[in-house]
Formats: sequence, structure tokens, C-alpha cells
Amino acid sequence: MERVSRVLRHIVQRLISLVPVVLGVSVTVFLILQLTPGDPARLLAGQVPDPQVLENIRRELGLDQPIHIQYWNFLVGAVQGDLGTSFRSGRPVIDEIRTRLPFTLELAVVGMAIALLVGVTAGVLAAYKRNTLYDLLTMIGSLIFVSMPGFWVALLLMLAFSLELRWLPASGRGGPLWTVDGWRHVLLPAVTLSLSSAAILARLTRASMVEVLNQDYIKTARAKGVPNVVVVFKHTLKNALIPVITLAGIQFGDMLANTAIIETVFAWPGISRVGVQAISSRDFPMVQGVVLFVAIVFVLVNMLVDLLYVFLDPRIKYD
Amino acid sequence: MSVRKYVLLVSLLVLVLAVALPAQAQRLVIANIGDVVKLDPAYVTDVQSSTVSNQIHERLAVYDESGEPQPALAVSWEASEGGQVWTFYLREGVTFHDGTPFNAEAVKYTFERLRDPEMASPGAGDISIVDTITVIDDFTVQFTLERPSAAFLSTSIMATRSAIVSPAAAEEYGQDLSNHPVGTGPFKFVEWQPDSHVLLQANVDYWGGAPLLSEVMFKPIPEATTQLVELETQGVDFILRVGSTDFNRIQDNPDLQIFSTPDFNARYIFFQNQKFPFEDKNIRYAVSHAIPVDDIVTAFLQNVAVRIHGVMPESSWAAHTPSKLFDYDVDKAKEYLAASGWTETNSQGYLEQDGVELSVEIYTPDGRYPMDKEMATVIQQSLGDIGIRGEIKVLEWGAYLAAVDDGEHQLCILGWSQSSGEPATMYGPQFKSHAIGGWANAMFYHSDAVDALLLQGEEETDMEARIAIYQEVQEIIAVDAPMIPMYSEYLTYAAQNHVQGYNHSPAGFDLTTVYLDK
Repeated sequence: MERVSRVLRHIVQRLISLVPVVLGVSVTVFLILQLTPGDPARLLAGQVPDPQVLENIRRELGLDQPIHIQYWNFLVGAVQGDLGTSFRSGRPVIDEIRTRLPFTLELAVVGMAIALLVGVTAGVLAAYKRNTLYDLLTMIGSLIFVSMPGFWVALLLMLAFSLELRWLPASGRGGPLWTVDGWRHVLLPAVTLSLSSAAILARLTRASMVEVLNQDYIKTARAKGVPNVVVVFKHTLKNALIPVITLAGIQFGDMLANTAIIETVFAWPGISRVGVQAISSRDFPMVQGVVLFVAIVFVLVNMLVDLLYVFLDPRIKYD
Repeated sequence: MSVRKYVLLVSLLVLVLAVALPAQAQRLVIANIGDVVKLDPAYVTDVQSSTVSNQIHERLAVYDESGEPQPALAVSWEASEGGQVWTFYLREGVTFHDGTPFNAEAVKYTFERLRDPEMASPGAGDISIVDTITVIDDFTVQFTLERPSAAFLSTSIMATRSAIVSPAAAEEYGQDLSNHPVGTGPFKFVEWQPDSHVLLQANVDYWGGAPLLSEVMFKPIPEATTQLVELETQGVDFILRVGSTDFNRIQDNPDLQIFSTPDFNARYIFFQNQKFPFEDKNIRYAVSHAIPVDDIVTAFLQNVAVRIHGVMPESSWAAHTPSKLFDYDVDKAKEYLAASGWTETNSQGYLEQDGVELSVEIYTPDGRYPMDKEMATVIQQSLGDIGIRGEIKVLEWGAYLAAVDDGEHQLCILGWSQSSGEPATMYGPQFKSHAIGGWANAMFYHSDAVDALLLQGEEETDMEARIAIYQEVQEIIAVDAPMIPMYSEYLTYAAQNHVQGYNHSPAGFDLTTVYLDK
């Protein structure tokens, strides 16, 4: 009971810590946007920017206000759940995010699942068959996957599985994940997204496993005649997973960042693609909104990782 | 179950399905180069939005394939008082998709809405010359301009943003009209799923006859390679962009067809004429001789662009090859440099005078124009050949525009695109001296003679006289050499062979006669 209340207290603490994080992120993003050269009004005004038109647009967007007033207006709106209106599309930022964030999360979650499945399995097997050809090939393979740029892998996979084999569609989202079409569409982008994470996780899992395998209690287990399979998968894996889970949490954040490229190549209707467009068109409220939401997701995922520790290793306690 | 029963059951199932499913819908799927930004024509500034908006909305007049104005929502028009008063006679019996009747009030409403400062529409700039708009009767509307303009049709009436919207819908939705666009065009708006698709449905009551297609779907696919793979795997029927490297691949594919036609755009190298070293005409001449533009266009843009020698693309009635041309000639270039005293070189092989090295910053965007960055590298190399140090600055488009507007560059790559061969809209914003700094005159070019002639060209109503004026402008510009004309991109699309009845034209993406033969 006490343990549960401790965990709950920890969750509340972490949620409270979200406030300064989000505030810090918003100030930083706001200032970076202000310092970036390029005028949103100019980009909205078309090819011939009439000075009168520019003035009207600036007034409509509130860009004629001093910077601190602009930030204050944003903040006041934000606490009331209003992140403003996208300069570019004219729609409320919160709506734009609401329609797209689930798709990005869907992509990242499937990608992470693939990365964990492939990465951890490959790592465990490499540790299990340490110093064999399999181990060597897995580690060389993971090095190659880590080094390949996502953009290039995306095109390669698309050419192979869409153009040559005609197994999977080249772009777009098919539907929800419980439909066949949904899976057919999500597979290529998710696999592309997962490759480098899977490779990093494989390397870390192997290293972590090898370290645990050298511990005294493993030797004891072996001396007691516990079968090798049980030693590796029961006694070693669980203890080796703590650094792996930590890395997976960070990798999830990386994935959210990498989705910008993947969503563009595979025309996936997610939030990262719209974030990149927003940066190009200096759509300040949209950039703010996207970065804020990604930051919140990142913090929440890491909180989840912290909570997982407790289940993996009961010795870890939250004070 | 016996075989016979099984066959019977399957046949029955097929029959039921055949009856239950309607005849295969004529749905054309088009890969758009990006998601639509806004579908309220008043705010359309990008190609992907105008491509869709122009299926839903119509203007009073449109261009035909040769760039001549043709009746659309107006059946005829006349200009009086030397081109200061324009009267449009409107098409009768047309209704908007929401049932609102189209009439002179709707036209007046559209244009008044466009120039309402509260709207902050970029379209206000297109019609800034308009003084008053008067409804003469139900189907006659009159525009009185602040000064005579021969180019009024092209600059104002036929601009994408001047498409007529349903007043009832505009009143109902206000700023949200973009999500509920209502026009008179051949296709009606059905739905827009951001970054997924825009779906349009045939307007069976279209005044020009119902379109043959029943539906049109635009899917935003930003990556060129992805678009091509989608076309090759029959994921889409039509793509609206074909790069030089993909041209042959499409042409060699027996299942695909390619459409290509000269367009009304032009890409240039601009000198910053008020900045060292290009305030010196000799240096401009030298660089004009030093860059192998012919080779650049052939090497990078084979099949997808044509070399231009003047400001206007060849497809325009105002195109004119000036008598002063700069062929690729390194020796001549060096002579011009020597004429300005640039003869000594420093230890690195670059020209130097009084301790000042002749160096130039070459500004280029990355991917805004095909192979722009790569072209900048060739320019840098060519400058090096005549002893000028070139430094390339690659900027993201927003920052790039800000930089060239402010004249930070010495040399930059810039282009101009429009939907007609009208010279007033191409020369005016780029070459008028009042367009320096913030407008489109990134050359910072100032010539009183050109200013005066351009104004004259806008007001002159006699076609022959207009042609002569713009030829004179082109001759002056060629001698002043404030820029180097490079190329005009072809408008190149590709489609599946089953797409039939399509007329490819730079005047607009017309889908009314298209059908699917499959």
C-alpha cells in the first residue's frame, strides 16, 4: 500500500514538474522563432508583397504588437487551452494538433514496438551466442543500420517493397490499426523509423546482458546447475533490461524527431510534417503548439520509463 | 457441399455484389505537391491550393492555351475611357454550389471582400488599382480604376484570388470559408482531411456541361520520388511534377503518358546592382559572359526547361530576344574586368585591387527551384575561372526571401511564376524602382527610363504599341544587364494511360473533359 502511494506521489510530482518544463520550452521556442530571419507576413502575402497588404496581415496576426505582449497573449490563451490560430491555415492550432498527433503517436508506437522486439531479441541472442559468427554479424548489422540515413532507407524500402515487389503501398495512412489496410500502410514508415533504434537497442542489450552474465549470482546459478536458457532469459534478461528501457524512452523522443523525415517521404498525415511546414512558413503559433505537445509526450514517456523500473527491479524505490 | 452448390453460391454472391455496388465511379486520384493551405480563393498564394481552388471556383475570364483571355463567368467585357472603366456582362442562369444565384452583386461582393482591410487578403494587392465597383444591373458590373490600365484583366480579374465566391457562404462561414468553399466551378467541395486528401465531386449542373469524372481526389505527396512510385504502382492516376531525372523513366514506361508544355515562368541570376562589385556595369558584363548558362540548362534541366534570353519566357506574346546578348566567353569577361582595373591577382589567384579582393556572395535557396544549389556551384566555379572568389550561401526559403528583400546578397538565384504571358505583371514588380526593398526588385535596379516605359505599357491599350514598349524595355534592360536570364521551366505532368481527354495547357488545370478508360 505504501509502495503504491509512493508511486502515486511520484507521478504527481512528475506532472507538476511538467509546468516549468513546458514554460521553459515555450519561452525558448518563442525566442528562437523571433530571432529566426524571415517575416511570416511576407511569406503569406504571395509573390508581390503589397506594403498595405503586409501591414494588414501583420495587424491581423498580431505581429504589430511588441514581443512581450505577443508572448503574454500566447500564454494567457495557452492556459485556457487556446494555442492560437495557425498563421498559415487559419485554423485553431489545437484542432490541427488534435487531428494529427494521434497519427504520429501511432507511427512512433508501432516503430518502437518493432525496435524493441527486433533490437532486444537480436541483442539477447547475440549475448547468448557471445563470440560466435551470429554475434559478429548482428553487431556489424546493427552498426550498418545505425549509420544509414533515414531518408535514404525510406526510399530504398519504398523502391523494394512498393515498386518492385508491390507488397505494400508507397504512401499515406490507410486507416486504423485494426484494419488490414491500416497495417499495410503503417509498416514501411514504422520499419524505417525503427531501424536505427533497433540497432542501438540491440547493441545496448548485448552489452548489458554480457555485463550481468559476468555477475557472481549468475555464476552461482550456473554452479547450481540451472540450465543455460533459464539463466539467460530468466535471471539475466530482467536485470539487464533497466538500461535498455531507459534508452528506449530516450529513443522514443528521437523517433518523434525523426518522424519529420519519415512523414514527409511516406506522406504520413502526422504532426511532425506539419511542424516542418510551420517552420518554413514561420507559422509561429503552429510551431509553438507542435513543440509543446512533443515536449509533453516526451516527458510523459520518460515518466512511464521511471515507473517501469519499479516493476523490473523492486529494490528501486521512490522517496 | 457439392461442387455444383458451391459454384451456384459463388455466382449468387458475385451477382449480389454486382447489384449492390454502383457502377465503378469515375474517380481521378491526383498527387498534389503538398497539402492545400487554404481553399478560400482570397487567401490562395501557393500552387497546391490554387490547383484545387480553381476546380471549385471560377473567375470572370480565363486564359486559353495561347494566353488570350476567354469568357468564363463574364460572357463579354469592354474597356472605355482609355482603359479606365471596365464593364463586364455576366453569364446568366449560373448558380453557386449552395444554390445561391450568381449575379453582379456576387461579383461586387467578392471584390469588396477582397479589398476589405479586415480580411487582410493578399488579393487586395491584385486589385489595388480599382477605385469603385458599380452594379449596373443584375448581370452587368462596372469597375472604375484609379488610372487607365490595359493589363487590368491579367493583373486583377484573372488572378486566382479574384475567383468569385458565394456571398451567402462567405457571410455564413466568415474566416472559416476556407473549410467550406463554395463556387460555381465544375467540381464541388466534399471534404478536406488535412495532409490526407481533398475530395471533390462533379457539379452536374455546371453551366459548361457536367464533367465526365464523378469525383476528383487530391492527395498531398510532397516527395517527388514517392509521387513517382505511387504513379508507377497505380496508387495515383496523375502527378503534377516531373523532374529532369524522372523524365526518361516515365517516357520509357508503356503504362504512363507524359504531358509537357512551355509555361509562363522564368528563372534568373540577379545581381545586387547597388552593391560592390555589381554597381559597376563592367563587372556585370564580365560575369554575364563568364557563366555558361546554356550548358547549365542542358546539363541540369534536360527535357524539363528551355533557355531564355530575356525577361519574358518564350511562351509570352511579349517575349523578345534583345540585340545585346552575352555569349559564354571567358576572354571577353576578362577584358571587361581589366577595363575596370581588375588585372592583379593575389597569392590565391583571385583578382585584387588596392588590397580589396574581388569576391562575391552567391545566395541560393535549397530546392525551391530545380537543382538551384547545384547551379550555384557551377556559378562559383565559373566566377573562379575569371578570378572572382565566389562564396555560396544556402538559405532556407523564409530566411532567403528576407535576405534578398534586404539586399544582403551580391548575386542570387530567383524566379518568377505567373499564369499568363502578361508583361506588366512580370516586369512591374521586378524592375520598377519603387519595388526595391521588400517588393520583388531584388536586383535593386533603378532606371528612370524603364520606370516610365513600364507605366506607359500598363496604360497603353493598343496591342502593337504595347509590344513595342516592352521590346524597348527589354533592350534597355539587356544593355544595363542587371540580371542574367536563365531558363523557363516547362509545365510537366504525368498520368496513367487510362486518363483520357486531358488538354494540357499553362492556362490552367482543366479536368472537365477528362475521363478514365479502364
